[in-house]
Amino acid sequence: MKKLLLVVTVLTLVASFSVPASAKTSVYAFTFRDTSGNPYCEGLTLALYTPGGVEPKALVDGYHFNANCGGTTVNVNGFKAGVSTYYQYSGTGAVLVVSDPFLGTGVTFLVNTAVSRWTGWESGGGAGEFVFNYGTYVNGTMADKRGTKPVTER
Amino acid sequence: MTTRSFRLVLLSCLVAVPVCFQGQTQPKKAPKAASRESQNPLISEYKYFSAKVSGGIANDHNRKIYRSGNLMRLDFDNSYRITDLDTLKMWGVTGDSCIEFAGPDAGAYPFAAYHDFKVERIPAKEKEEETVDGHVCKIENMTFNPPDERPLVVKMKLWKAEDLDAFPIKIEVDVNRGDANNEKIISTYTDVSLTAPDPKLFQHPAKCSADDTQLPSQKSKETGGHAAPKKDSTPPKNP
Repeated sequence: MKKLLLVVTVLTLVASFSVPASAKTSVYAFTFRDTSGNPYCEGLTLALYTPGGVEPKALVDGYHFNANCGGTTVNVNGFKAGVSTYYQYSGTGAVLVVSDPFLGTGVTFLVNTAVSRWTGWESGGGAGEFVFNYGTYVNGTMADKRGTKPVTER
Repeated sequence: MTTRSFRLVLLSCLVAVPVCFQGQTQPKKAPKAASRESQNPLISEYKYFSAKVSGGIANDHNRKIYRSGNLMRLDFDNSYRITDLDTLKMWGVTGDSCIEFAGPDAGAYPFAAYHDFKVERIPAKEKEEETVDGHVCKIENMTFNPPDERPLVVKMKLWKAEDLDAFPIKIEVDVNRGDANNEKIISTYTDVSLTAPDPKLFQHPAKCSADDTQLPSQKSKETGGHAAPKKDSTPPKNP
């Protein structure tokens, strides 16, 4: 019995150490801010996670709250991926590439969690992509006092 | 065939081949200058103006817009953005800091769109006039076709104000993707001035990069390229 208990204990310990600590879901919840730090009326809640402990974490899922200041919530999703610095506001390397249908047209947010900055790209419907806005955020400020302007008001 | 006659045939061929190719060589044609009908007027015309823009894909509201040659500036609360209509790069300037993007600002649409598309301009009909915002306008219709296999046809309608040197105070873009869901995007321009804007408005800090982590080769290529307008963007005499 003692031997069995020992084996179970050892197996449990091995199993707990074999799951990487980084496999834990990362959560980002923030209100969009402009480049000077003034909050807009809306923001994102995003989970960066991995099913089955596959590393590195790459899946992004969440929602856009108070979209366009209208009180509605819109589901968003995407992946974590490397994007050139020339496509993002003051950031390098991997970003959360988040597709957001809140405008009814193609919008993609690049969220750089290392520097807490975001860039909004809008589809030209075949004419090419355009930057519609960019700014900063402070993680964990979802419930903070918000501004009155939508992020599209630039 | 004897060896001698084979050699004769071979020699004939060697002589004949260059002569044949010489006959096929066409004299090089001089590059054909693009006719007015095939030029996008949003690029080739209206090079110097300032106005307030509303609508467009950016859904702007009376945002101040300036153009000087290939540079277009849009003003924001405490910053401004300059789009190069040739390279489609954009600089965002806030105080002394500057950020460069490899893409145009949304407010530069439709001036910064459809650059590689083929344009067909349909001349305005003599009597086709409408009054927009108090300006009598002639209407010009254009069709833009992509240079590749994108299933997309873009129709653009310009309301050109007669008292503003035919400046398009209203632009409607109708995007047809081959289904019933046509998308119409309308931009309007008010408080239009055709006086060339001050070139200083289009300057940005010499250091204009995301941060210091870029490669040295990128820095030398990409920074400070437009501290002053290019030579070819010298403003014309004010109208």
